[in-house]
Amino acid sequence: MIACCAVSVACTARLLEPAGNDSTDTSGGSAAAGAGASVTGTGGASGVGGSAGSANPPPFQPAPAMLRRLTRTQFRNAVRDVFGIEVDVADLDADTWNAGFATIGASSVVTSERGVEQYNSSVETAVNTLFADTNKRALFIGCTPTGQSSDPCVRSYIEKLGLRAWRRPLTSPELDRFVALATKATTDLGNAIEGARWATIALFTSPSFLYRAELGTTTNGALRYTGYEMASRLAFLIWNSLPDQALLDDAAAGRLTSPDGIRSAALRMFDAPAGREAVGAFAEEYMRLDRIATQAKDPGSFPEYTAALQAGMVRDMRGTWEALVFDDDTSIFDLFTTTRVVVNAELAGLYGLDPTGLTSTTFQLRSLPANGPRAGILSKAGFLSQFANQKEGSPTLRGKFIREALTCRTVPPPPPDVNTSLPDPPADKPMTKRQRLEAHRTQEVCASCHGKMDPLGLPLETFDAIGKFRTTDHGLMIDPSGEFEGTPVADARELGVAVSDSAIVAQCLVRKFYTYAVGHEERAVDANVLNALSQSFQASGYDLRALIIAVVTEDAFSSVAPQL
Amino acid sequence: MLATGTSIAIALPLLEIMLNESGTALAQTAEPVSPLYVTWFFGNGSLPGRWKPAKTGTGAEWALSPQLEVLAEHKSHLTVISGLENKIVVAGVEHPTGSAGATTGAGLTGNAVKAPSIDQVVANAISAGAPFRSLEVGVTPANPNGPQDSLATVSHKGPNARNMPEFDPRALFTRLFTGTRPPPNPTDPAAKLPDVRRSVLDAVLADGQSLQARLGAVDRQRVEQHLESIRAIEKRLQTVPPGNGTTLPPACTSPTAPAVGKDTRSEAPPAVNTAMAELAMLALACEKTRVLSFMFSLPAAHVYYRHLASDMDDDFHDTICHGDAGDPSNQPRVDRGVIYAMTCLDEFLSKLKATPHGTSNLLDHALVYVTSDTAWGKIHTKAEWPVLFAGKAGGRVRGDGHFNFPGDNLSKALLTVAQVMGSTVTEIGLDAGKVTTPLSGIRV
Repeated sequence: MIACCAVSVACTARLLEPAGNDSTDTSGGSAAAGAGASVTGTGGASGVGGSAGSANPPPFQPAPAMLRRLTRTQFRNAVRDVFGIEVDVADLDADTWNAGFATIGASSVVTSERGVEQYNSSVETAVNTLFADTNKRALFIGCTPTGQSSDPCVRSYIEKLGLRAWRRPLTSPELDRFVALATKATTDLGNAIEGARWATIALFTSPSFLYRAELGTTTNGALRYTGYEMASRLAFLIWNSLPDQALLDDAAAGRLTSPDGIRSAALRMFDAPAGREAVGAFAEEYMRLDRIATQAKDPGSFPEYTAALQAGMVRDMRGTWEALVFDDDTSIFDLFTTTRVVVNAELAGLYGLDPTGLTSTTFQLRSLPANGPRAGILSKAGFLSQFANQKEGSPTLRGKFIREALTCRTVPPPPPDVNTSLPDPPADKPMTKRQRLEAHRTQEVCASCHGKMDPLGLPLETFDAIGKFRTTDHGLMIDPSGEFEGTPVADARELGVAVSDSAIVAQCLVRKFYTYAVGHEERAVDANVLNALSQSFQASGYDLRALIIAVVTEDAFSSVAPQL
Repeated sequence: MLATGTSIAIALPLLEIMLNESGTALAQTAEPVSPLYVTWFFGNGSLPGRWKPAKTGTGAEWALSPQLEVLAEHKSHLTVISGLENKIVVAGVEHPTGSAGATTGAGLTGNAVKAPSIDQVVANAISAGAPFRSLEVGVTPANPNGPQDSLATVSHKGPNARNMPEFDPRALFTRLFTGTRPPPNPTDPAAKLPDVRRSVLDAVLADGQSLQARLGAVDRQRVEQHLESIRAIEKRLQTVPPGNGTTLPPACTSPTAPAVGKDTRSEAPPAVNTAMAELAMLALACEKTRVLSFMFSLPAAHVYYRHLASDMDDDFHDTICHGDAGDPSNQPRVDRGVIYAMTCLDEFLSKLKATPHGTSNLLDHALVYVTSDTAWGKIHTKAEWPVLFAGKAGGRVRGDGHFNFPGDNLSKALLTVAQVMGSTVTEIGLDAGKVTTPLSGIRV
């Protein structure tokens, strides 16, 4: 038997066993096998992935139409946009994550019975809360229900709200059905308001709200998304929420069926406050920020690891992505070198910044010292704390995420029957994590995989299990040297510079954003699209907004194949 | 005294007219009350050398093993099944495939299971008419954060259809006991509320059906699952609220909300186990469900049992199970973790035994399938899988025995469970996990 891993988190490395605190995702592999020649996992240094890098990638084919469930954040955002009420995403059915994104898992997830109850009660609570406020309710309904049968006020209310909720006009029988429901509720419960209340609840607990059936319609012999379906696709991509009236008007007027119309709609959407979601929501999924709230830390070692600090970590990561794109107007790859941080009082404390003027819930965009040890998103607490157990950071898991998520490369599973334990260091001879991981580098069976991960994570050893800066590990000075794509790096800052300059990382980001946006895994027939997107992204100076515009105006975003 | 109903489809709780004078059985059919089913799951496996009893046999022929000794008061209700092998464990993804194999008898496609889990197979057989088709609860949400569905739960209605455990006792309490208040005065407009709610659900169903008409087979089925849940909610609105308290334990009509919330430190603390065990017992006793999954800890749980002892304050999966030196009979900290899990199981079994049901108690009527996601966690062995049946399933399992099936397919335990519980299925599992015969000698 081979001893491969050090104790503690390092052992999750053995692992590439997804049992680790990691992101190994077996879904990509099977889909790749199904597609026959998926580029996933073959990403070479030249070109985008295997097929895209080859001379003759297969021509693009539209993907089959999907029925996607709203992600938890989309559901929360939609309820907030419509009712002004906040839903806790932890109280909703869990998302399915496939190929690293909930937006991809959304097309296969089946809602559990508990989940249906949770969606229903969330909607009911939101509607009841809004309706309990007489003034807000009156504004929301927009007319005064009379309580009469087929009340025109209630009818027009349902018609308008239904369009927003279902992202398409209700058909005449659908409208009649909800009007009849409203009439019954008003009659049974003896109050004119009750019809509006229960019709609202019914609209938002219907499958047509929770699921996005974007099936397309045949136009000039080709199956393409309808205008309303395009409005929905744009809204959930750019705002991570429902379309607004203007976008639905665009759909009704046929303005979302041409690249120019789509472009101008998307540009308008970027300028709305929710436009930052186009970047922030993507960053939240790509960086797996959903996991932060579920992770515990050793309370003795990290008493400062509170819900407020966790919230700060999420906001910092999202906010930095957003700031680079929307405030600084710079290359997205400055992400890996930026000193930008978004902090509340707790996170400012962790970063060693002056917390004056901050509270747990007030956030500010600040800059870290230019020459400090911390720069770029890989030295943000919201990244570092995820790839750690309750006590120690894991160079292997940090490196694994960098390799898989940022360079779009895979790490093979470990050999079977590997003894994952190394003896603890003798009590009188402490060792750094780097020293304890020595076997990963010196033993061939370990090094073949760990060599792809550990050198990426070791430069981050100067940050502990919650991302606090440190210079020593078990009392010994930390050697933070490592390697990225064959280039030695001295520390976290140099790692950030290397990642920032990498063409592979740039191509990988295109592939990740594309799959996030279209909601399916990468296919061999996407190669030409990905190559074109990579080129235009580079030409834009790596402006993420330009990439998003390029994606939504691609034929791949508007065309669709029949449902399987 | 209470009864839980027959296998025929009727709304619960039972109408009193169907009970005999003492309310203990369905006199007109002379059938015993339905058995109840629980999957009781603990993550990270056992130490096979400390789990497996030394001798096989029944009664005085066998004695409990060191890791099962804490269950001694229930020995008469225990059936230890040793020797089984999980045939579908895949190297590199041992915990996710181990979990899937032990609960579904099949492997994974991508992140999804390929087949329903055993609790759902049992629910197909016995849950008709129960307010909740099944319930899923958990003690600690500690998990390895992997993407496979079989790491997040051990209850799957089918591929991509996870039933996620509720980890917060207070939320579970609310779910179980909201709506058990007596109905309002019929002259009060609020008395019409259930009727209005039903109309809302009817509108929702109508929308779902017209949506289904536009979809392909796979997505039509996904919407169908949603609509089935809507129908279940609708049915619960029609359920007669629990009666006057004569047939159900008093706790069912005036339950006490738990004082403890969710485990936020990934410690599986005793207080949360106590609260969840109590609520799980009540869910069965109060006829809320007949099928329950109790996830003490999840597969590969990164749990910290620091409340047990200061030297247990390490990641149980990483540092202790994988990291501690030792062999399958000797890993002292693993041993203490497994024994703690069995202590928590003991608490649940004791609550079942102390709760009257039919002519006896819940434990007599229940079958509790205890298993894990690996055999020996340190190197993820797949032989000598931990399998324990607790309870007598209404007399269909004898109890007080240790049976050894060297090298036999773990899925046979699942098929045995299904058939004991009255399912008519004749095979379970897929690929190397597929079996067509149950374990011999277990079912009476």
